[in-house]
Amino acid sequence: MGRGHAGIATPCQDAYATKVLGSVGCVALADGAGSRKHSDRGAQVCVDAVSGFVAKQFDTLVRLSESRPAAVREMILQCAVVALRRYVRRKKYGIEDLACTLLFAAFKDGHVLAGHLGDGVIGVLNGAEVRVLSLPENGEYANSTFFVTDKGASSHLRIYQFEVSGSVGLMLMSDGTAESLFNRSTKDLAPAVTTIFSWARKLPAKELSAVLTQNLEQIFRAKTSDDCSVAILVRH
Amino acid sequence: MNEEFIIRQQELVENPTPRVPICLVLDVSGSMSGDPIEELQEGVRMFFDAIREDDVAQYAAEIAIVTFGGVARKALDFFAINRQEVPPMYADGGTPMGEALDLSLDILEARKTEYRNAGVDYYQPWMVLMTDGAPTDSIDSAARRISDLVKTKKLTVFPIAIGGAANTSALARLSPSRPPLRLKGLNFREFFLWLSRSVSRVSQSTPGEEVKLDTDGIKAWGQV
Repeated sequence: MGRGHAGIATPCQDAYATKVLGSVGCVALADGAGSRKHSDRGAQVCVDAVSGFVAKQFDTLVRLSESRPAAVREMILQCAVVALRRYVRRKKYGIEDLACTLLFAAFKDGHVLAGHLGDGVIGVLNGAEVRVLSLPENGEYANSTFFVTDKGASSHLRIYQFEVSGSVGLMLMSDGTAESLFNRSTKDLAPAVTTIFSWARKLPAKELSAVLTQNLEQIFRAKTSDDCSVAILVRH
Repeated sequence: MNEEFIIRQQELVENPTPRVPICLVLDVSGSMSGDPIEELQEGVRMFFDAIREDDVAQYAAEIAIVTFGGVARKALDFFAINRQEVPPMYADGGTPMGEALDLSLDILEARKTEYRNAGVDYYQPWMVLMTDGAPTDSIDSAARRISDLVKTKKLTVFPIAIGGAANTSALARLSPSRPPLRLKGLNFREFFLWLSRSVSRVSQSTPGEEVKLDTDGIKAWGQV
C-alpha cells in the first residue's frame, strides 16, 4: 500500500490475479481509480474475471487478434464490465465507482498475448533483450488516465500478440512501481527490471514473491505516495 | 533480507516530479497603493515560503507572476521555486486586465509545451486573478479563452475581488464554473496559505483522483 493511502486509511487500490489452465499461464493487474469509492474491489473483480477469461479463451483470442483485433478488445472489456455489473447488482452504487486500469499478459507454448488499458507499464524479456512492451496512457494531466468503465474504453485497450522462442518474461507494473522502473522522458526501463527478471529465473515463485514484496515495501514505496505492485510471468 | 536480492538505488530511474503551473495575475494599478499593495506583496511572499516548506509542492509548484498597472507585464517567469525571488510590486497606472490575462494564458500554454517537449508530466494549470477595480481594456478575448479552457478542464481559475470597488460582474465572466470570491478585508495572507495547501493537495493526487477544493478553508479569507 502506498504511503499516501496508508496515511488516510484508504485501502490499497492495486489488485492482481494469476491463473494457470493447462499450459496457459496468465497474470493480470489493475489499479483502482483514486477518488472512486470502491475501486479497490473493482480492481480485484476485474483482474479475477479477465485472468480467468484470457486463460480459458487463449487460443481463440490469439487467433482473432490478427484478423479481428477490435473483437478481441470488445471481448475482454465485455468480460470485465459484465463481472463489475454482476458485482454491483445488490450494491447501492454503479460500476463507475469500481473504475480501474487493466494490464494482463498470458502465454502458451510460443505465443504471448498481452493487453493494457490506462497507466502503468508492461515490460518484456525476450531472450536476452529487456524492453518496454506497452507504455502508460495518461490523459493530458499527471492525475488522469483511462479506465475499463469509461465510455469508449475499448479504443484505449491495446492488445499485443507475438511469438517467442526460448525464455520469455513479462512484467506488469502499476504506475506507483513504474515511478521507479520506467523513465518517463526516455521511455526506457530501469536496469532493475533486468535484475528482477534474473531473480525470476533462479528463485522459486514463493521466494520471488517474498523478495519482491520486500523491495516494494522498502525500495519502490519510498519513491512515491501511490500504491506499488508488480506481477511477473516467466517461462524458463 | 539477503543483500543479493535488494534493488540498489542506482538501478532505479529518477523521474521529474509532475509540475503544477500556477500563474498569479495581480492588479498593481494606482488604486492598489498603500495597504493593499503592501498586504498583497506580503501575501505572495508567504505563499512562496509555504510552498518551499512543503515536501512535495516545493518540487511540483511552478509559479509565474503577471502584473497589470498601467501596462501588463511578466514580473516573474516559471522556474524552480527555490531559485525564485518574489519581485517587488508598486501600484501605479490603469487596469489593463484583458491584456494581462491574455499574456498569462500565453505563458501557461508555452510552459505546457516546454513540459511536453522535456517529457515532464504536469497537472491542470491554475490561474489566480486578484483585482480591486474594473478592467480599463477589453476582456472579451480572455473571457472567451478562459471559458473554453475551463469547460474542457484545461484550466482552474480563481478570480478574487479585493475591496468593494472590484467589478464582480467582469470577474464572473472569467469564472464560468464558480462565482468569483471577494477577499475579506485585506486577508491576502490567509488566501495565499489556503492556495499553498490546495496546490499541495493537487501535487500529491494520483490518476482518477478528483481534487476537491477545501471549501471550509475559503471561509477564512473569502466570501461569495
